[in-house]
Amino acid sequence: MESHLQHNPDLTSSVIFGLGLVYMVLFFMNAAWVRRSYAVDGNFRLNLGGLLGKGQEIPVAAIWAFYAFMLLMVSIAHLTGTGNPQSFLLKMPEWMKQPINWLSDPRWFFIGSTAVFIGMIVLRTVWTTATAGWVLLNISLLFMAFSITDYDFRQIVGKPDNVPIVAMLYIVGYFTWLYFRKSVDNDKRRAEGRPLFEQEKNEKVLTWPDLVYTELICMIIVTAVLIAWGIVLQAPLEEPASAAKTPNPSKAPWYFLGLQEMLVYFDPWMAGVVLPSVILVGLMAIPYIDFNKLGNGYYTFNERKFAVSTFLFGFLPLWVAMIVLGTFLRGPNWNFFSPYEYWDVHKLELLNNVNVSEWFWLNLMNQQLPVAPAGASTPMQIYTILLREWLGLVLVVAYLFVLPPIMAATVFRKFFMRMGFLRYMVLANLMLMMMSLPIKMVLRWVARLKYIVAIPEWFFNI
Amino acid sequence: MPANEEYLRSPKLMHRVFCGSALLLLLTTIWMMWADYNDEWRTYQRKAFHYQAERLKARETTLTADKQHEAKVKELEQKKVDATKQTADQLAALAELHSKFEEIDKDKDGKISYEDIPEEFKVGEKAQKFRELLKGDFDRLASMNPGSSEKLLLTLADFPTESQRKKAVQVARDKESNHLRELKLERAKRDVARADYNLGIRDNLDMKALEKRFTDAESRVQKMEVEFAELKLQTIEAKMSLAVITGALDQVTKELVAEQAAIGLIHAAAAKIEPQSGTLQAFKRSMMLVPIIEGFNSPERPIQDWMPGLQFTLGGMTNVARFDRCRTCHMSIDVVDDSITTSVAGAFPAGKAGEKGKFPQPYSSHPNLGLYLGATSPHPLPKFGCTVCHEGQGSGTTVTNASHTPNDPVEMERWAKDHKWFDNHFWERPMLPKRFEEASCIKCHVNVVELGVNEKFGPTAPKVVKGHDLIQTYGCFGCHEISGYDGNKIIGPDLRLEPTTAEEAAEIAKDPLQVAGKLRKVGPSLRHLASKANSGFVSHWTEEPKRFRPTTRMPQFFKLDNQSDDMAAKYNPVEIAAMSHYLLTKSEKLDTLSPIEGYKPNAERGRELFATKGCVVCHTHQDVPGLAAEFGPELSKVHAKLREGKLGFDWLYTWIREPERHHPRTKMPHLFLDGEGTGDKYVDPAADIAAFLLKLEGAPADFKPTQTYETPEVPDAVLDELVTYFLMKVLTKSQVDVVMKTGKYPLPASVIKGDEIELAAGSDEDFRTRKMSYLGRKTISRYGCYGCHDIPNFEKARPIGTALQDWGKKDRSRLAFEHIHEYLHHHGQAGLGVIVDTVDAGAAARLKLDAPRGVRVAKAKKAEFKTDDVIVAIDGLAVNSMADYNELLDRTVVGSNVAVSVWRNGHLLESPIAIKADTSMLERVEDGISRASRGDITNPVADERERSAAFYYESLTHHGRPGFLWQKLRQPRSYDYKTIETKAYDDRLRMPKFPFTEEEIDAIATFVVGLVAEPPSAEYLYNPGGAKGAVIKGERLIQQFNCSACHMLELPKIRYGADLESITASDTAVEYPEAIALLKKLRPVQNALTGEMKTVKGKSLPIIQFHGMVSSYPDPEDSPDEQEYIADSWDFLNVAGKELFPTSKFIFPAANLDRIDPARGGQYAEWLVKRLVANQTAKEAGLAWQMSPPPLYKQGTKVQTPWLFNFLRNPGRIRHTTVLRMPKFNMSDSDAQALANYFAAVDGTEFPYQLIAEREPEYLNEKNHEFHTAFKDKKEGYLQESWKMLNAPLCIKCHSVAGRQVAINDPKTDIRGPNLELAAERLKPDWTLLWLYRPNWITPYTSMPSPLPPQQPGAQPRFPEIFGGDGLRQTISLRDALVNYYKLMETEGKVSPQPQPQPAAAGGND
Repeated sequence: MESHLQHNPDLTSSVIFGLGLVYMVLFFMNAAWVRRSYAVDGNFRLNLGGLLGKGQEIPVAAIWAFYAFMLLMVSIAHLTGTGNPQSFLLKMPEWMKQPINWLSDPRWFFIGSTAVFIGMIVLRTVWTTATAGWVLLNISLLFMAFSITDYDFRQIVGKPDNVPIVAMLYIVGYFTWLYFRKSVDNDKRRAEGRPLFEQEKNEKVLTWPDLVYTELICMIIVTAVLIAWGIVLQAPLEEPASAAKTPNPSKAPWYFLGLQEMLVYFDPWMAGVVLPSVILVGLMAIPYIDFNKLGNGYYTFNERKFAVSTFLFGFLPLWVAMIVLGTFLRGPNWNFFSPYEYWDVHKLELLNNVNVSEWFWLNLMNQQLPVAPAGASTPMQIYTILLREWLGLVLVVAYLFVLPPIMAATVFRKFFMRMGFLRYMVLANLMLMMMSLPIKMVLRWVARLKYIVAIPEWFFNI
Repeated sequence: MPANEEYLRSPKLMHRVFCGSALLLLLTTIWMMWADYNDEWRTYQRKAFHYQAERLKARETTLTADKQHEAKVKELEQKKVDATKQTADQLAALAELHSKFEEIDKDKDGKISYEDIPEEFKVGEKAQKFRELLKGDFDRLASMNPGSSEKLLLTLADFPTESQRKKAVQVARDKESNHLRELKLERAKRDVARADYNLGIRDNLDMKALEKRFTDAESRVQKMEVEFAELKLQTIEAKMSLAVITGALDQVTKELVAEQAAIGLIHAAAAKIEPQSGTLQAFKRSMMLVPIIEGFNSPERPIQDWMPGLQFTLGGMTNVARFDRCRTCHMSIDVVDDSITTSVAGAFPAGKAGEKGKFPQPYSSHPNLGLYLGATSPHPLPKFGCTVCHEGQGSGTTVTNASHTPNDPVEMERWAKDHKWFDNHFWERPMLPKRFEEASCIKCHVNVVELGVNEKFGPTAPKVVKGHDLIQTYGCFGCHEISGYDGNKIIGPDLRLEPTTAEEAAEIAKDPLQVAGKLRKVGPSLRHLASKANSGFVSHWTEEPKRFRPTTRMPQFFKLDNQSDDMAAKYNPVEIAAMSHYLLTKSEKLDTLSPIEGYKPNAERGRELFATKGCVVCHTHQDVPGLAAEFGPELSKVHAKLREGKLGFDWLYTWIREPERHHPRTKMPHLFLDGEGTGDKYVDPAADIAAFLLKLEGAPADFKPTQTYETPEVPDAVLDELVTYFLMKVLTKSQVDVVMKTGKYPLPASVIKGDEIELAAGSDEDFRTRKMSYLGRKTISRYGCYGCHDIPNFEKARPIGTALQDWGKKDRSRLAFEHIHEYLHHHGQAGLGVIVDTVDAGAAARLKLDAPRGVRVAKAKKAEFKTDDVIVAIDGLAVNSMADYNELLDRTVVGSNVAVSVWRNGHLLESPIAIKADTSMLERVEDGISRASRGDITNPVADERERSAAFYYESLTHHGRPGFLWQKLRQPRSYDYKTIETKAYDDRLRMPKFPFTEEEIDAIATFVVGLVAEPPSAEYLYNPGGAKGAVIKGERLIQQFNCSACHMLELPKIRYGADLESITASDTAVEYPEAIALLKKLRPVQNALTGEMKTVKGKSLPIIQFHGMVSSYPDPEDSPDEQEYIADSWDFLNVAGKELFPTSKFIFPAANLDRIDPARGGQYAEWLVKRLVANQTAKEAGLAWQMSPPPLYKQGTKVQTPWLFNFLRNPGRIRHTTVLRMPKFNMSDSDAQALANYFAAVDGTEFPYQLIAEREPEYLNEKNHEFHTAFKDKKEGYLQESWKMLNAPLCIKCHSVAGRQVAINDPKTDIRGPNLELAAERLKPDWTLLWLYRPNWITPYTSMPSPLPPQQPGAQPRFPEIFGGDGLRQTISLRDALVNYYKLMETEGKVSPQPQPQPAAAGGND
């Protein structure tokens, strides 16, 4: 009763019941895992700091069994505790929300996702074991389920539109895990001088029935899933389209949210035209740039460190993470909202950013910005603009034209030697283009920088 | 690498997986179909079909079981048996004829002709028999086609058996249709030929061939047409031959079928929906409902109504026509119960699920099909649909998608559970919840009044009308413009102030794209305030008007939620002082009147005059109890507010005598309270009333207000601070410094546009005065005081509030909710912070309380109270029960301090506990709603109040418009909660707090939610002209001028269970038949029987009803058996065939009374009559009525509209019997016209002009002719004779006529009638004549006798020398003389007076 009188209730009967079902599913999953663990994992010795004397041999599966039992208890508690949602205790406490909210600030979010990315590569042997994968899956599911008990998190993650994004998180996670698992295996085989997995277990198969039959089955299953999805999650009826009143926030389709996030840092023509084109062209150019003959037809990381890391950096922190950020963390007025924060339209953020020219002329030189006198001739105007923006222009030119030779001489020396000038320059420029996004982000956060070059007269801003 | 024979996965496993996945797909597909088959609307339709079938079957059973029907069927069946037998006989006869023919045929070889028929069949008995057999057909056919009768006979004989005859018909028919087929072909050929011919003309071809082709074709067609006619006739003949014998049988069969047709139709309809199981029909139906197949042509289908004329704006982008699919689920919404013929009722009455004979939504019919949806209603379904009134998403087919809105959170929870309901805030036009169902009416009914008063349908939307009236009364439009026009296009109800100045009015009148507002400012004019009150009172009043007059409508501007901080405490008193300073210094001089020198007003007489001169109609005063009038302010404390001495007295005297002096647009009328009498008997009623109101005992100069008010002190520092604050907005810091230091404003007065002009103006005034004026003016501008009051220099000021004409669809994101949730969490409710319990006897004893009274504190949340305290009074008003407690708290202003008297530890606390009555709104709502959902609140009003509060609270927490509005009206400044700390002082909210109850807020919300500025297309707009329009305009004016407070517009309706036998019809023999005919014309006979019954003492009596007045009420001291009512009927009644003239008396026991519907209006008249009788001014009620404002019953049939117009503009004296006069209202010409038209329109008579036929030469010539024919010896004309009649010693006894004054010897007994000079222009001729026949038919209480009633045969004729003493002629002549009065005065006026000479004062006017 009275849940409609509650403003934004964290828990309602239906949420508790639904979570009960989720925990039940999780219980069954882990019950199955107990069986696997019992067969595979063996025992460990428990002595409880000498309490058990020499200790006791306990199968690892017992821990899983205990965990599964806890899940069952939690599930039952949920399924029977729907009567009074207001006093239900199993919900995310405020002290847990605070650090997560704090961590999801875009700065920390980006730094964190980059750190996770690096950690992922460094610790690839650790997290690609089956048990580690299972633990990660459990943690992520528990985190989701626990977070659902927060009204604001539920509103945004539970929105029918956002279901693909949640699915994407798990799909991307799974395939990344799978890639690294296979690569680690192959790299280990290489190091030990054993044949590669692909060579040892020849996986070449017949088109029929092995490929086509599988594809057919996949097709059928996907169709069934889509139908079920269509029945269970009805398309929401939203406001009538209106030019007079646009939705707030106005969000692009989920797959373009990375682009939309770029709009925060770049001028529309950069974020909307130049960078997407570069991404497409860059992806097309990869086969021509790639000089590394290794890694064809099998999984490997060690043999293609640069290629894989660069691609994954562009794909995971700069694309997928941006989509996640744009979907879950960007709210009204495109303001940033933490996962457990109410999307209040009244929130304001400081948006008074400065251009390089302003910083140079106003702050450093303590002068007015150069302005062409009224009625000045075109060359004069051009001159004034160039004068005003000289520092930004120099920086950009330096970034695009001075940095590649320096890199060729230093970090990319080997590459330059093997690739030749043209291919190297293409690679270097693509790299620089990609890096311009994180650089611009950092500059915005650190120096409140708006544009490096700002020539609104010509609609040219960088 | 070549494929090897080994597969990656075992094919067996793959097959299994494939099988599994295929099954999965199959299952999901079935699931999909099942989900579609179980669409919400389908389940509703299935059930609705079932209900419909059930109803049809039940009706079939009832009709079949009907006794009359059964008897009729039986009779017809018997007839059928007879007819069958007769037919058999005839066939036998025919067979005989046939055998005869065969005999003849043997000789004739098949060529029989008429001649061959034996004579016995042509004439004689046998022939007769056949003729009979053929009945009329024989002769009819003969007349149609000579010889055919014979042929018929032959045919009959040829085909003796029925099957043969049938075959003959078939053959003829086939021939005919074959021929027709060919004919059609020929016609088509002819048409082609004609077309070719026409094309030939266009193409300039050789026309000869074409013409020939056409004529050939045409001639073929002509020929075949002739043949076809012949064949047609043959078919008819064949059919007739078939019919003649079986005719009787056919007829009976037909009748039988007809008798069973209604049942048959019902049966068929039922069978269509739910066919008998096992039949083919049932199989077909079930097949049609099989999933998937039902997708093609299912009886279950979405039902749509399309209203291209009713558009709405979709997301501000485009207008779309309404497409309502509501009937998809609400299938029976417009099904009328056709078993009832007397009224329109739904076939499926609404009710709760499980109630017998009732149907829950969505299966029920609309509760008011007579008014909505029905084919004969003003809002037929195909034209109006549903969403134009109810709103919602018309194309949705689920509860949620259609945007249904629950009426309160209890319902909301239920819906959420049952229908997965949620508030789809994306749809900007959610359905209006039940509480707002009337809101949409005002989209089309922009005049609103017809929704409250409607002759045919009664009050159809009382809530929205109440909201409208409240807005009018409290003058919301002073600050919030509610413009009914976009340019000159009507977009909704128009509530705007009238132009303030004549120039503005003229400017608007010139502009064709503007329509001027019509409403007056609701507050009194402050233009001459200085002559009325002093600064102390003005400040005292402004700060908190309720403190001086608890019933005032003036809202409170100060001491509210956002003024409890130090800044407001410092500034507010200064602002108030500055305002009163401004108002008094700018006040204009008023030329006051004074009573004549030396007049000593008499307060005691003033009290009586206050009652009898009509003041109590609008005002209440505690010394004159009885009428709780709320139209004008309560006057009990006038003596405490006016200026001291003669000034104050004279102001009040002037105001009472000539209110328009003080304010030309005041609603207070001019009451004609002129001095009367001479010398010692001179009475100045206005002075006496003033003395009464001022509690004055001596001379006017001695007046001393009973209360004094201190002028608030204004610290210079605070004044300067405020002035600086406001100046900083228009000047620079240094400029402000200069102004404050030198008192010189940097700009010349001519260029200052704002309030700063006060600082510049009048350099002769000292700077402090100017600063005060500036601040006062600034404050008045900020608070918008001029929205209600006329204030000098604010003539052109614009309303300060948000315009409301489109508020009903205002974007919710543009409403400033601020911290209202947080506020209502802890505040917003007038509570004491305790949970209370009733005190029972046990608790009372335990707490040492003498008797169980008050409420016991069960749980104290605030330290001031303790558990087991008993609250016995709040603010000195006793709390005896829980109900008292709740009611007192409801009336308390939230956040104000109340004094609570508490019984603690066996005795009453010495001083009451002072506590802020402010607790959590959320808690109240949670508590209320849980009690409501448990059904703990037994009082329906309280239940609705709690549900309503919860509804608004819920709306507020979800940023709904209604919730916002509700809280804005309850506590307007609460939206400033915790915002005043961070916003500028002059940004604080300024909306004042009005004294509205929650119910009133609900009504206002209903009206405002309906303001959507979305005009439907012209055909839907209800803004009629003609009589309907006149009624609407008139009703509005009646409300505006409070006409109905004095005058009864509808008489009371008396209903009682009557013993019909005891009622005797009026004796028509004692009346002129002409009089009765005229009565019937002017007062059509009403059927008194209602058709309802009332059981009295075990006897069932029919209830009769009539309009009339109760002249005697039961005496409570009598024994119950003797208690009875006496009532006079004003209607001409028909009671079960007996006709009763008006004035018939009905005497009936008190137990028989069904009910008395009170009169519409006239409360004052009724009150005054009682008072006059009680204080013996009048001897009995009839006489008292003559002294009081008359009922305006059927006024339209009585007076001429042009006269009424003039009378309303400037009412003269008509009756001399009354104790008060019709006052002169401040009415514009158009208002007076509209009101005059209203009375004619309501009674269905002509307006604005009436033809007076009795003045026309045609009428007079005829009368003259008739007169001279009847009275050949008379030389004078008819009118001259009539004039004699008028001047005969009859009328002139009581009426002044022809300049002759009536002599009143004893004013107590002699009744002086109105001057007859008025009759010609005032009264309608028919009415006048009826009045002359029988005055008390029209007004039962009149003192006027029937002047010339019919006489007993042989009685002494009256005035035998005039019209030969014929009473009827005399009566008519009186009327004609009155109608032609002016003409006659011109010609006959100087005739010396008739029999009784009177001193004639020529041209005298009384």
